[in-house]
Amino acid sequence: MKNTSKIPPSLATKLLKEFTSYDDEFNIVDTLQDLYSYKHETDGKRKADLWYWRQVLFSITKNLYARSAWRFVMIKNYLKIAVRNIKKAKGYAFINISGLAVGMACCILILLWISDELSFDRFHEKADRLYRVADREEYSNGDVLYFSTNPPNLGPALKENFPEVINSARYRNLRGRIIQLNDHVFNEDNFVAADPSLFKMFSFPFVQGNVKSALSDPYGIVISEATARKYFGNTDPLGQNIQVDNRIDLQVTGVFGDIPSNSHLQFDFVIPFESIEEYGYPLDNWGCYAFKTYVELVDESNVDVLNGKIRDFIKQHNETAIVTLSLQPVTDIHLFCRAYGDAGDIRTVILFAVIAGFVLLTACINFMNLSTARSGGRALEVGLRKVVGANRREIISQFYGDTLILTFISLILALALVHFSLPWFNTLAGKTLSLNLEQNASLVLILLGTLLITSLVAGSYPALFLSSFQPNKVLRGTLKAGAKSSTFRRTLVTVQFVLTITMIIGTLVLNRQMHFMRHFKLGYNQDQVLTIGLKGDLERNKEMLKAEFQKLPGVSGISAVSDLPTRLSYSRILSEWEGRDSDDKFLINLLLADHGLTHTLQMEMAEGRYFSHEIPTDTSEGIVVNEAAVRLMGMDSPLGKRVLGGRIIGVIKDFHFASLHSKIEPLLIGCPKDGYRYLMVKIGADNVAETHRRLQKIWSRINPGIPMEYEFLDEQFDRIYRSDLRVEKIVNAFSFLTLFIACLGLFGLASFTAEQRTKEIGIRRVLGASMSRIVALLAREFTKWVLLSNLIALPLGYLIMRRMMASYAYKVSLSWWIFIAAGGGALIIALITVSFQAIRAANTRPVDALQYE
Amino acid sequence: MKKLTVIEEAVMLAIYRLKDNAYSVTIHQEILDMTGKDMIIGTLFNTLKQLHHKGYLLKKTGKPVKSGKSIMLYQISNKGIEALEQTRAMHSRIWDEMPKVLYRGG
Repeated sequence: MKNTSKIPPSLATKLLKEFTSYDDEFNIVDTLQDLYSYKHETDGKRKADLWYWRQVLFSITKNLYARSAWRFVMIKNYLKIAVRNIKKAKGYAFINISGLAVGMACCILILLWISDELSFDRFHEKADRLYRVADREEYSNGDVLYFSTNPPNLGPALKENFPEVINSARYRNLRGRIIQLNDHVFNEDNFVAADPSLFKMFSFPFVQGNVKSALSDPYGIVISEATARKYFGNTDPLGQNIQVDNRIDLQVTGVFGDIPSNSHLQFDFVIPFESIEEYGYPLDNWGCYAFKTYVELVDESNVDVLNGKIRDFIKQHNETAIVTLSLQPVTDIHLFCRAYGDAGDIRTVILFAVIAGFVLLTACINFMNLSTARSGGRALEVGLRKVVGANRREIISQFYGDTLILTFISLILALALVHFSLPWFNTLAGKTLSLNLEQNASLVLILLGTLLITSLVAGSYPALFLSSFQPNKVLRGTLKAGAKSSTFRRTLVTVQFVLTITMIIGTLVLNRQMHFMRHFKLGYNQDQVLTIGLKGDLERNKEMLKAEFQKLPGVSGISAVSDLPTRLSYSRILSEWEGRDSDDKFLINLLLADHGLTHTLQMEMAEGRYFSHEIPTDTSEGIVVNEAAVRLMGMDSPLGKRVLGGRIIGVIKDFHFASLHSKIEPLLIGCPKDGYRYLMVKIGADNVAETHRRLQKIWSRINPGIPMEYEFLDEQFDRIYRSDLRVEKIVNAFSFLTLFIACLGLFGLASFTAEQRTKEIGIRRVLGASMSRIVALLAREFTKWVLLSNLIALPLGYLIMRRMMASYAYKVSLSWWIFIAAGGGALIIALITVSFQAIRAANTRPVDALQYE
Repeated sequence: MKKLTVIEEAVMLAIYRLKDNAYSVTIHQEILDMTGKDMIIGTLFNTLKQLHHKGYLLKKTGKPVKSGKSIMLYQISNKGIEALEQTRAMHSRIWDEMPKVLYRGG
């Protein structure tokens, strides 16, 4: 009797159903169920359950084994054959594996870099709900500018007026603070003022102290873990006092964990935003665009709708404003908001991804070429396998397996290569990447992906082509595998060299552009100009310092400025000028510079004169503009016109005060009594060290205890182009490697051809052919294909480079010699590679080649 | 020469003994009765499949059981009988050549 209420353990049944399959209707599950109910009646539930479990587990193993036993046997055979093939042709295997390993290593390095770039600001728990308020300025002449600094009133007002905004945080970097602790003095740049909500919105966890109350004390300060170690060592930092700028005493109220390098916000000291007035910034204002504003939105709020609502928010409070607001996701800031200097750029990411693809493709082509070249030898094996009953699918999987083994060995090698080259790559790319497989799940996925894609691409040709051999033809010997596939191989070599030559062109153009930018006529002379940051009381003591410096024999010019010509973001003000159309609204860059500027930097005037000591009204109402500003304001005779409550006394020739990525913007120069932050000192070329020592001495006499922070202007200039330089270096390295890999493949292919034609060469030699003729014979074949790649690559490279160069406002012309050099260079290197093999083949004695005939 | 493994032999014998009522459940029980061995169902199904593949067994859909599913009845084919007889012949030939009482090792 069957009893339906006796149900066996359901988990076991589920497992059984999952892992066994039989065609019959009354299958293994039903049988066991029946038997279970008998067992249940005779032996009771406990015994029956145990019995059932045992049955299920063993059935599953039996079933799995029965299904795959033959496969294991065959896999063992495939492995054996694969190892034998490697052993039989060690040279080819070496070229195959090492080429692929180098290619994969490059690919992994670049992918590591890319995944780091893409990971920016994604570690915040609320990353998808955090936005930064971005401003858009539209000028009357159609220019559009984007920036991300806002008035201090904006953040709280947004939170108050829009229910979608849960939290807002204002943020301002107060770089260049002097911090004193006991007798030690430090210069700190990562010093910011921020609302306490910053720590609520972003995932910057506290290590010590209370997140909620840490920033409620106006004289509290929170510091990073690294800073706490640097300042206080092992003592408890909480409650310690430090002094900022020689006047403000602050107490440490909290310590936060160090900011990860993949965060666009980088800070070590945070003071409450409310105390920002102490540092000279307004707190209640709708016109001072100096503060970054971040907002956190409620879940699933529609950003597009909110963007529409906040668009003209500032205009509602400040009629003269011309900015419109929008929100940008924090995760987009690093890659999609092009700020100069260290920030990333999505175009670079794409460029690198393309390079990674190129390198890997080149290595894969090598692999495919050498595999197909050697496939002739394996045709017999395939024929025999087919005769004894292998079907096509099995042969395909065998060849994919073969490549999988080789790619796996390459991957191990590549990982080793990456491990050893990572420190080098890190210095090159300015990153702190690490190859940590346990912590980096995406990296493991990337590696497995690389492995699979490589073996799929590299293994496809041999797998699909060889498996299509008809056994009778192969075994009768009428099918010559090598001959048929040579067209295919030539095509691949052509593709490979198209990639390589394109990359060489790119490298040459990029190098030229960098050279061009670093030696561009900037409109001022930046050589031997020392810049010194004015600190603390010094702003007031500037005249004294200037007078003292001026006396030194090595100093030929001196000027105080509000911003350096290499700093890229100037303060901008809404400008008024005589004859302005009331609809024209512009924010124009403003520079404060005293009388010495033109002399120190050797700038030239286009019209009028520069500020002069003899005319005292210059300080109160004189204004110098650049030529771009004159064009913008549309003035025919600018001298004497009123601008911003001042009068234009001169027009200075355009000079580059920003990166060469952008055109020269309009600039106003004023010369008020204070507001200066830097001194620029032009020093003579000889005795630099002595002059420098004297400057230092004067500084410490006037400002005891405060370190002099100085830098040469051209060093700063180079720093603007640091990320460009990095891209250049990385592209250089990888295009060289691509060329290397391509040549490695050509080398293998040439030696294969030479080997195949050993007899032909022997006979030619016997009949009296000269060495050079034989070398020419072998080289001609490959030369033809490299020439063809030149024909394709040169126009292709031209088109790509023209698009890439569009991002530079000032660029080199794409001169013809670059293309000739790239094409010719590739050709010569290819020729050398092939000739090396050809000479060796021609040098063998004909007797050795022919004695077995 | 058609040889059967011990498991195959047991399954075939059980089916022979069950005549018209040989399906998975009864075969399992019969083997348990015959040999006292609690056979793993997975093994039983694999063996049945192999024997059928070799042509020793015939399959026939039987009447539905309580759950509504039709059971699969097994029957030994002529080829199967031949294999059984050959196996028995081999067994008896070997055993006939053995002494009636086996000596135990030291």
